[in-house]
Amino acid sequence: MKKHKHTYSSQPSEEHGLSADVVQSLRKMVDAERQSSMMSMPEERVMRAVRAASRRHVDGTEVIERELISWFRPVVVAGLVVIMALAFYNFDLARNNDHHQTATEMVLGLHPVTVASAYDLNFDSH
Amino acid sequence: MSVATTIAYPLTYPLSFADREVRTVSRVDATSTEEQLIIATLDGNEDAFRRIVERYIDEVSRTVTGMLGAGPEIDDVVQEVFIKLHRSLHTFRGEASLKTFVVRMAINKSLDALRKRKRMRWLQPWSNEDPWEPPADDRSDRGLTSKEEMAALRHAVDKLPESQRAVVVLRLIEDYSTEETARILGVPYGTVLSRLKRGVEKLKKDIGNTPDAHLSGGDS
Repeated sequence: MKKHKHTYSSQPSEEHGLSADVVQSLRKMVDAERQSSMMSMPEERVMRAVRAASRRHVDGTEVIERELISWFRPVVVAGLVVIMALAFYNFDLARNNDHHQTATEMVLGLHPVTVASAYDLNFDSH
Repeated sequence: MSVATTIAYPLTYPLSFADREVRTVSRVDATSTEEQLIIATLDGNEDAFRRIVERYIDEVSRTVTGMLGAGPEIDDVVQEVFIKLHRSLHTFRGEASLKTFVVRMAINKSLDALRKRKRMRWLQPWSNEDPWEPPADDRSDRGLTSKEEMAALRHAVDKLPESQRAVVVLRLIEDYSTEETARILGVPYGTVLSRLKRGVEKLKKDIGNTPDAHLSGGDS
């Protein structure tokens, strides 16, 4: 890490309600933490990481990710259209029969269930 | 593939640097402007991006350190910020400065790292990991704040909620103006002021409660 000292554009003041010395101490704390945390030549390591990331990018993982993202919206829209069409079809079909079904049952296309049909063990009729 | 790429970036603005016709910058030097460096980088000039890194690594590393505190992850987060910058330079519209754009990424990546840290703590409650400490020689006083004072300050900053911490780091520690802080965080001016007020109150209270209470008196 470069050993140059950062210069702040203004001296800490007490305008925020915190004493100028505390603000100064906070700045010194961050400078000291940074000096001790960052390894030497960070620019070089950043450039190496960027180069490696760009290679991965070209390799195709990012391309697949972008493709999936780009297809997400059209697929969701098409799916919603199909669901709406099916719901409308079910509703329209159920409206013409004489069973007393709720709107949810009509939209979902559920068979009318009665006590008699529940005890009817003839599965072929369903 | 080109069609898919167009769909993938529907929000890329027509006036972004990537679309400008003045893409003639191939050589860059220390005097190159921000715009020249961006255009050259988009043209594949690695030296231009290196200059951007050199220009902003100081701001990015201090912002990330302010948010996260000392630790081995600082280096990784700083690298992630610049990788993201390299990938998203084409979306830079030039309305705010590149510095604002980069520092915003640094704040976002720091917040990601903080959430990851929380998740790790939750997933590994049995972990008996000692808190990271810098090497002894690097921590020597340099005539600055003492080790105990620094620990007390860091503890107080770490206790701040994320939104207040970001404002305190940018406004107080990094010395950005209230307008710049609002622009970086993408929040209204008044929100910055209220978060700063609440953050400072909490800091004062926490610093006052530590054994190094003389900090609040300011003898550093």
